[in-house]
Amino acid sequence: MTERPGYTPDHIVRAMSLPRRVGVLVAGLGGLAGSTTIGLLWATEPGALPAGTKLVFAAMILVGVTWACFAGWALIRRPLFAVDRVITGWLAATFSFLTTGGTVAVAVNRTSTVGVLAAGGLGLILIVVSSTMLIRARAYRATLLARKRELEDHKP
Amino acid sequence: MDRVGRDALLVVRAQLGDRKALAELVGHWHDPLWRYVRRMLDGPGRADDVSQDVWASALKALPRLQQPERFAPWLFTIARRSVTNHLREKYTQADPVDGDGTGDDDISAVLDRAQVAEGLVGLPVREREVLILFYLHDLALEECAQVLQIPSGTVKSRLFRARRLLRDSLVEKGYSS
Repeated sequence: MTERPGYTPDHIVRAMSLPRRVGVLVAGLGGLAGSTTIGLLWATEPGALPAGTKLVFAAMILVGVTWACFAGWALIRRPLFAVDRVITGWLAATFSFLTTGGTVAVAVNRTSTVGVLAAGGLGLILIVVSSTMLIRARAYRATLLARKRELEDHKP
Repeated sequence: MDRVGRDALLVVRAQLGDRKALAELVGHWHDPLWRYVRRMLDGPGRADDVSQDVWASALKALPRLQQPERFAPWLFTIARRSVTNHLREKYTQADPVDGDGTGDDDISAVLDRAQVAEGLVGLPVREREVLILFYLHDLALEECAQVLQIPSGTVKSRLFRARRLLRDSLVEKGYSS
């Protein structure tokens, strides 16, 4: 049988490019952080916003949420290797801290104590979840590195 | 380093996120996987579609592979599942009854890969796939058993029957046993 496959191995692994996936992740987390901040600004605005401003805020929130959904969908469809998980963990932790800082600052300036506690509580949940993801990702990578060393030591 | 050790190290490196190791792993198994699918299905175009689906499923599940040294049987198990799904639409044959043969006969001595490949055409699916895995991909009996999800003894008996069918087919085509 002299037939050959109609595609190459490169075709299979091309979709696994790390920069492309990190780019998608940054866009998704950026969209999520942006839409959360704009939503908070809108919710804590003391007076009624003009119709045009409301329309722009709604559009920006929609764009941010759409990017977050797209990133989630794109990452779920692809395998997450150890380095991807560690990068995801770091990015998620960074965005969680930044978003929490931003929302608490807005709440302090614009809302009551209850609002500050609510923003702080939500931020704390985000930080705990993202930090747990990061810790687990680093532990998974450490386990694989140990396994790799073990296999290399058995190399003849 | 033997094939199993080489694959295990490449799998762990790929699980860590080493794209070169992933490319090397795919490079090693690209042709064997395609040939397995091609011999089980009609037409190279269909083999391309199915084998690409197999790679997509395998790479998605690769980070969860707990035993990297079992990569080959794991990959062929995924391939077999995809092939079975495609064949199910075409074949509705009843399960053949497994025999009790021990699996050793004189045909082993004279078989070579070209003869096996030629004689495979026209064999029933179950016999064809066990010959492909054992002779053309050099999987061990235990590995064949894992892929086919049957005991090693059944692999032996299936090989015994497959070789007899293959011998008959080759004799018909003019080869002497």
